[in-house]
Amino acid sequence: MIEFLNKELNWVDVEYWFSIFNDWSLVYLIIPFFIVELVRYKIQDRLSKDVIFDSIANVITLGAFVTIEYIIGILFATKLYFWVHYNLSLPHLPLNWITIICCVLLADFAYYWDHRMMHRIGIGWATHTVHHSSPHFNMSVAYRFGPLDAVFPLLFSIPIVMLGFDPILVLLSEVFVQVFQTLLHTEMIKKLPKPIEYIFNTPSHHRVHHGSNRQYWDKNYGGILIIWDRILGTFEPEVETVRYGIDKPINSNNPFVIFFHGLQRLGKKVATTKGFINKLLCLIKPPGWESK
Amino acid sequence: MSNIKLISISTFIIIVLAGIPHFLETNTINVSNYKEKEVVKEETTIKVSKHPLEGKWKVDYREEGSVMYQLKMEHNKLVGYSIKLMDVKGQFTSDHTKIFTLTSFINNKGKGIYSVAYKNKIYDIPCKLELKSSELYVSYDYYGYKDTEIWKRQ
Ligand SMILES: [Zn+2]
Ligand SMILES: [Zn+2]
Repeated sequence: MIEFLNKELNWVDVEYWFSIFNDWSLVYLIIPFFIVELVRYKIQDRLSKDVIFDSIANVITLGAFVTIEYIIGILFATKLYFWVHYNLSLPHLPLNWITIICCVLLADFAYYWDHRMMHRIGIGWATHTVHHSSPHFNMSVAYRFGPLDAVFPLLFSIPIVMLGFDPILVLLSEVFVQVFQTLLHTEMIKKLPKPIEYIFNTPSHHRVHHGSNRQYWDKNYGGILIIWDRILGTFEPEVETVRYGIDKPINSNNPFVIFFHGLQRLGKKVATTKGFINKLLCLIKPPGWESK
Repeated sequence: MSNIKLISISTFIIIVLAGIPHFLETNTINVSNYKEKEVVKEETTIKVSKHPLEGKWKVDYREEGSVMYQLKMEHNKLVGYSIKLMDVKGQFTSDHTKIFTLTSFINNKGKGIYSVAYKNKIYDIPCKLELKSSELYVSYDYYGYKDTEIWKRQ
């Protein structure tokens, strides 16, 4: 077993396996699933203009996010990753199953902390609130991104590269976590068998994460595994029916308003807060923080 | 949960997840080092031990001529220099540019950093090596720029 897990793998094969899930799942899983969700909305007589415009806006924010991600990548992210890999890293790890599994788990753990930070500091919430601002919950909501969503994960993936993992593997693992997370955005799957709900993040756990019910705030940050939340004290099971969205709804399907509402609200808060230090604190203190 | 508790639990998780692959890697390296040492011991009676990649290698770049490389040990690292550049007409110029550093080599397979010149810029790209009798296959894939060079032992 150890010998198998330790066997050096070919990059071409690894990239191929990752692409089956990371890239192609859009075609064989996500889009078909979304179509079924639309049919379900229709049957339940919930297929409103609002759902449709909301979904379109989600895809538009995805476009903006991808554009920003590419610009950051080309400008410095890839260079930074490789520089760290060759200059600031522990001995490089060989490409085998052990390395891949540990890298995905580390990327998942990094996702937990990245996500928790996005909820608990002002500037993080200014961008991540976009993802939470939809009053609906379907596959398209997974693609609802904010303007700085591409920036924060960098802070958490660079340390993984420093631990000796190949930058490309780190990137593939991060996308893997993100795609797994995407699949959780649905109301169609109620609860999965107990052992799965105990270990993995599931649609039920992620519905709680999107809840505006007070007891559901800042809970279930996990990507693939929910055990991180159980260990670090942020787990909450789905009991009360979830009301999706944020406490101050934006009531708009204008992609521009959706994409920038967090930054705009934060900007307003900074502008009306007195004192330079307090203005800075607005960026790093939790979103509900007010200066005395 | 207190911040200290959060930090300690998180540090523990990171050490375990990063520690496992490093631990296994060091152990397997020890095994192969051990094997290599055994081989060397047998060979020392015949000749002084030498890295299996040391020596001169020639690569044909089709329309662009060919290059002679020399791989040798420097400060316990195997590095490579291009030593002779030949054009298609057979004219040659001497050279001494460092183009290669080996990072690992076990069981005739290895990895290294290959410095490739493209449009007057040098790119340090990771490459893979495979030694098959007197031919060394050097392959790389750098943002879609991929190739496998066949280095022939001279
Ligand atoms: Zn969130
Ligand atoms: Zn979500």
